[in-house]
Amino acid sequence: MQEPIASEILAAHADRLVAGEDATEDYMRLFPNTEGDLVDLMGLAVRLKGLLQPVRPRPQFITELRRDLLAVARQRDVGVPLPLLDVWREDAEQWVDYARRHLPDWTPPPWPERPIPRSWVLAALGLTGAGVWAYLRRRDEHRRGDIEVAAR
Amino acid sequence: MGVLSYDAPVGDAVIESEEQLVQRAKHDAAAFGALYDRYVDKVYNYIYHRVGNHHDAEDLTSRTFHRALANVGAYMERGVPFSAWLFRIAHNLVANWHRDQGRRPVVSLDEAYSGPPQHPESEAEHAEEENALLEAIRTLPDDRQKLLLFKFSEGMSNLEIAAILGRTEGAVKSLYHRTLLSLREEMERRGWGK
Repeated sequence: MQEPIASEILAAHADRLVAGEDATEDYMRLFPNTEGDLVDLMGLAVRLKGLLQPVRPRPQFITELRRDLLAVARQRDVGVPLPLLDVWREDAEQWVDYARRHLPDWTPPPWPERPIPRSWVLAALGLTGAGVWAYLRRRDEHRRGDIEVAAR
Repeated sequence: MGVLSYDAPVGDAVIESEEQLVQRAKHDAAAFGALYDRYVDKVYNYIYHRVGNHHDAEDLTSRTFHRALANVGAYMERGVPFSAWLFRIAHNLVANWHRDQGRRPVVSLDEAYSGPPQHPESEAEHAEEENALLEAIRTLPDDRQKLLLFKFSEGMSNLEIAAILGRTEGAVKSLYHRTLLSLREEMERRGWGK
């Protein structure tokens, strides 16, 4: 049998195997002149399918790695470390996890995924700085006024 | 998926193409989370079959995604899908692991073949043959190992595998044929012929 035809038959056989069906006998009937060679390879494919079972990670591993990655990604997005937010978030996630285990009908509210924009952080810092500056300036003016009054 | 699956904007992720999602993942944690959800099982499965134990599979999976996150900003598609890029990172880490540790991977067959043996002698022979087949798989070039894992363990189509391996669908079918021939030859060399 020509190699391209054999490749097509083996590929089709593998597709049916992946779909959960061993069609070796079907192909032997369809191609009665199939060499034993090809039948051997189909048998090998069946063994491979049985051997290479999918292995899935532990759910806890998936959850923890996801949390770690998103924490790093959020710090990257915001540009400044916000460890306190991460602590709050972890606490909240633990409560959500607890609620899910004990209240199966409960659905958690949508989680605000977007981090605080950098501009908001800068604006908050700017406003706080301006407030402190205004306070100090006013305090100095009062002191100067008191000194002038005392000097008179 | 995990208990935090509500974390990702699933609706958006479904509508978006993978390319758009990857572009967004460069500056948006949620998008990277969606990519993680999409690939964590596949990457773990790939690594597990290459290293043979859960502990190292977890460690290498974690390092794969952390490295992907650190470098996703520099990723440019240029005909190479994100999945191929991700599996390349995993492959490099596994290769380093084998080189650094100097270990021979041993996949635990206990999980795959659990249950009490009905015929201890034939069971032992069967397990021995399966071990030989696993060892034979590990002698194959990387792209052939990937092909077998993606096809039989992940159930990917030839088209999907072709995209990851950077080949045509026809080339993948031909590679599969040649891989089976190589494996059979290797098994015969190990005394597990017809």
